[in-house]
Amino acid sequence: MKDDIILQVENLHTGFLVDNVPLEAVSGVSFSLKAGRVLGVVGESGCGKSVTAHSIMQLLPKYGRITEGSITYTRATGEKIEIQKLRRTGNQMRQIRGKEISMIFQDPMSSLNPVYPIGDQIAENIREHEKVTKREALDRARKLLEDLEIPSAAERLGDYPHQFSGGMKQRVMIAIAMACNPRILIADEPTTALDVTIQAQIIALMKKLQREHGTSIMMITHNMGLVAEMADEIAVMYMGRIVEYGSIRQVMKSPAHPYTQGLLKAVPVLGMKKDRLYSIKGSTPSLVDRPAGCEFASRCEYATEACRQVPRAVEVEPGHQVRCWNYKEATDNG
Amino acid sequence: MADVILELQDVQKYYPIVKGAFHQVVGHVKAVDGVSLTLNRGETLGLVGESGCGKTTLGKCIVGLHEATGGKILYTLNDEKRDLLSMNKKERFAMKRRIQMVFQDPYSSLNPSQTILQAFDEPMQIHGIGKTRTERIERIAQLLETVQLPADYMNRFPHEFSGGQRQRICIARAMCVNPETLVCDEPVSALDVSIQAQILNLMKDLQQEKNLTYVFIAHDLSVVEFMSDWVAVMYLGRVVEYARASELYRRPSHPYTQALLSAVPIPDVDVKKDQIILEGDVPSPAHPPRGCRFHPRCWKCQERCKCEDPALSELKDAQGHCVACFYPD
Repeated sequence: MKDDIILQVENLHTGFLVDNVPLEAVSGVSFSLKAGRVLGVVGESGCGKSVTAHSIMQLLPKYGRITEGSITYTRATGEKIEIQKLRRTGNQMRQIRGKEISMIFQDPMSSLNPVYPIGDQIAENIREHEKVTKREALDRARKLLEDLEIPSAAERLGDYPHQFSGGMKQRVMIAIAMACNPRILIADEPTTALDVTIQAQIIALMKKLQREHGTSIMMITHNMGLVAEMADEIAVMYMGRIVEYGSIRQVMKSPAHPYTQGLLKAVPVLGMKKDRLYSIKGSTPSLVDRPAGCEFASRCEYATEACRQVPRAVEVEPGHQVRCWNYKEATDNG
Repeated sequence: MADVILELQDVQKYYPIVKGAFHQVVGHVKAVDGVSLTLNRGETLGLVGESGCGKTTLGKCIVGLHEATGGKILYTLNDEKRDLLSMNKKERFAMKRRIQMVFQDPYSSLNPSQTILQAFDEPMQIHGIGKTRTERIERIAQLLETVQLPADYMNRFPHEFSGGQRQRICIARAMCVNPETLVCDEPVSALDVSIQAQILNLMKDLQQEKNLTYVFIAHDLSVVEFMSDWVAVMYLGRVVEYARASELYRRPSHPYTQALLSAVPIPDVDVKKDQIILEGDVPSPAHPPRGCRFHPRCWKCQERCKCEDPALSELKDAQGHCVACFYPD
């Protein structure tokens, strides 16, 4: 059986106007999200992973624009919608955002409104999309919190965000995102602000929800370990481009791009103590003076003359793509 | 014989909770509640634990940014153990040259209106290092080179640097008064993965070169494993397990350590492990649970754990491996 593609991003370019100079944060990203699957998007700060997510949600700031490419969302009815053509605040976008595609933001501390009780904040999303009374919406909010294992959920509906701990707030964020049973959930660094034991709780919950509801998840993170645990497919981003894409096994077991190899070697792994860590030299260049050709060339061990040209995506094996001229050398030595 | 440089004996840091117009003390937040540890010269002690466990407070007590409210912090000065807490002001001040700190956030720990030169020059003047300005500038140039930055960066302002460069500068600044001990509070948690590796390697090189002693505070267990010789796991102001790093990671004995270790995601698709998922959150240090502080979240909790507080005691045949649990594995 062929997997149903629920979200197709094709050659996406998103730019920002900074002092009237356009800067491209995402330049030519293509990927597809299949129904009921988890796609991990990995990269360091500034690589465009969050901008990609915000482009899909049409939540870019005023000076941000999708300049090229398409984002096609397939509804449950089979109807295809090109999200980039919708008005940001138009009716159709508002119907999709929060109901069919919803998002968990990175920082639960600052993403909740401090002056409303959390029950109201969950119910607001339900009432925005469905014709229910406030009481019914609050009742559903309570059920959601119970599903998310918040103790004495009924009493806590009237509590304000400051009365919750970080892990609890992130559960509330998940409850808001899951309130209308979305088909796609975009999780932008959902556990970065949390402690490891709380992170384990949240990840276990997300896995459970995904199993029960068959939600497709786009998981944005910089933590290779989390991706290995959650994702089916992985896209590694560097300076606004996907440099490697494939199934989690392909990319983790035989990374082809020097950057992916570097990322995997640079993190200390529990139980495998080394004397020195591999480190990628230098740091990510600024978007203002984006290098011509391959952006990673200046930091790459395998850089050659050819790297002055922007590399095309090549298929290493079926479903495993890499954007590197010298991936063969890199795979042999890496 | 091991050369002990720092010894903590039952260190406490209580913050009073005040209430009402007359600021009556109604209770205490026990941020650090009786921590005893020793640290050898040239070695690294890792302090791990979740937020609010008191690891940063303990670090700041060692440096002297917080005044510990109880216990002893013994520091070996010219082969003589001196208690930092009973020193007079002048002596205590002079100790700051020996124990320096590197902070978590390289963005907020450099003064934005000072050049790097000014930021380095001030502590050196105060502690009388380098008699003339030229001597000091020479030293700053050397320091910048040891952290792999060009010497002419000293005339720049912090905003001109990236996060990784700033953290290098912070490390160099801590080094400028020639300290023996560095307390590093989450030095890499604000940095990207590829930069993190550079800084960790740099810190290891510096340690070997200058025979530095590190107190390395972090929440990331794999980073702590990479850096440390000894590791102390903290929970609610107490040390619950203390052992050589290799021993602790091979044979974690406290249930909390086991849960922490099992919660770390491993970047390998073939490693499937049994995760221990703890319930609930860390209780508030103002009202720690009776008995063992971990018992409300512990899956091995027995009646005894609810009323008695286990002391940190050494396991049998395990060189220095200490656990505070009645039923260790």
